[in-house]
Amino acid sequence: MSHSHAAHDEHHDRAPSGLMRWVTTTNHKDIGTLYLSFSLLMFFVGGTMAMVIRAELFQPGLQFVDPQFFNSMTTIHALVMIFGAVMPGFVGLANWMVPMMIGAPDMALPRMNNWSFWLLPFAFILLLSTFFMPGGAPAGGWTMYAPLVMQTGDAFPFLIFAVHILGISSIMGAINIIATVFNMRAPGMTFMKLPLFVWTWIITAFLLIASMPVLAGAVTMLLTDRFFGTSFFSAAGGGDPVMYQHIFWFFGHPEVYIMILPAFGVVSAIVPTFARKPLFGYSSMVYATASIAFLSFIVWAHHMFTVGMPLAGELFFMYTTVLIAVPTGVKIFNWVATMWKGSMTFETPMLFALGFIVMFTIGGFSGLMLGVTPADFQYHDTYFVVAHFHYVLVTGAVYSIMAAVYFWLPKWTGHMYDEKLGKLHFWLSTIFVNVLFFPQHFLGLAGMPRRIPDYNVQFADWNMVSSIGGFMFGLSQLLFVYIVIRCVRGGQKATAQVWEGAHGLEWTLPSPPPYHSFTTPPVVK
Amino acid sequence: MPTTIPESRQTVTADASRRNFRTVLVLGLIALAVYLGFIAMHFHGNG
Repeated sequence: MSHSHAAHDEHHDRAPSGLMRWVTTTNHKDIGTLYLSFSLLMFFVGGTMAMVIRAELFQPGLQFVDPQFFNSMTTIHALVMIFGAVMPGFVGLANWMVPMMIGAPDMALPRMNNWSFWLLPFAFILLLSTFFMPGGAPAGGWTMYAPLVMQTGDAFPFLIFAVHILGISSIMGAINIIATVFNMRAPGMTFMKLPLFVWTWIITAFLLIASMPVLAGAVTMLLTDRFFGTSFFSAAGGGDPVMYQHIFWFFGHPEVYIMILPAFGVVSAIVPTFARKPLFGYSSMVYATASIAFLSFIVWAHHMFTVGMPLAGELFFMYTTVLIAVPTGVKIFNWVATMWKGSMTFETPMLFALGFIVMFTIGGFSGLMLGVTPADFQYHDTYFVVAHFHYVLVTGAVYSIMAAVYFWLPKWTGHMYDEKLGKLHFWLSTIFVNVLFFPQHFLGLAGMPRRIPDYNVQFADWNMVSSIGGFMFGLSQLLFVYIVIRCVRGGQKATAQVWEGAHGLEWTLPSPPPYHSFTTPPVVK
Repeated sequence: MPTTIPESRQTVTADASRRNFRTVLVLGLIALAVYLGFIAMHFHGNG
């Protein structure tokens, strides 16, 4: 018995080398690195598609691609960025940090963790292979609205299967995080002592478990409508196409918060560190996060006001949408109050966190404008919507992931990154992301529709400005890759605490931390 | 019974693994129920 246990334990501690280390790994840090590397790769794949879109829109008229391919670009750009870049980015951060933050040796279910990750490349190979199929890649938008999506060629079942695999991966990842936090906290680490990043991830994980099966159900129904003679969404067979939109957005709105709640957690870790003060209003932050998660399930129809619904429905969804501003406002207030009279310094993670607070708030305000029903009738399906969700997702979610990478990279690698280059990356990104997305507000208000490869000449000037911003923002991200690779390869040694104002269990471990984070659980007082 | 696994790891592998299994089972069943429930809810006659 003791012999077999010893062999078992030795097996766990022996890390295979080379490629097999990464294929077979059950270690939370390795899997976190895999997720983050995959996320970065997909960020550039999706970014390349964005460059094609912006190149086509540089001038009015058709320049480079045919309209069908343009539509595939917008569709796959969104799917790749949402499911390939942002979500795996946050899962990677969770894999690296959650066990270290709660004083656990690893994730609760390490083998499932490995499987959760390795499903992703297969899903994206399926999805991206559709570009080479008869009929081309899906082009009906990432929302896959019925009946338009039924016009997809041979790619259709591949799209559905890829979405199912992505859903399974996300649900397994979410279950793993909940099991880890619920069952593996260090002695004394009560729920109300958990770092905000862990809290936001628990709530995100519950959102994933509740919403991803809804997406899976919706696309399964699309599949049976196309191949098995059902008519869930076919009016000809007694079904309802609008019902698809309701089901999709019942998933889609919680999905928005799945992509932003962990960002709140990251900012809540960074701001107190560089303000050298404890987070203001910890418990109100937890309750605000939970409130946002709850509200995210009762606002879905604000995405589809224009399909027509009873006045009571419009009012209900407008009021619930606007209500989300309250807990979100609590968070913004708490971050500002944390900085108030703090001993602030502005290292790169703090710059990205501050950029997040300012620019996410811009995206939040344009969201409020869109949430007002009569105004939405004007803005719907215009570039104003594109500007809104890119402020939320790029200067919100992506900025927070970059802030987190700069914040924790010295902990992960044991080396400091180049601070000057980090700051240069922040300023280049911040200038050009605004050149890219801010004019899109003007375009939308002037009436330019989304998802079109050609447009009226009145929109030419701001589209050109936006495209220049897009190319420059894209180029600026190469600097990020250079900084990360240089830091991984070497540099000034990082201390265990790394940042003067850093507090928490993860900063008690050496940089880089040992293969198994806490083999002896720390006692939290 | 003597064992070479450090006490801390033992706690993780024995006690927590049972709790982990229950957590996976409950959350997995919830996800499955939501998936099938949403499809069943919209099934009408000919689907």
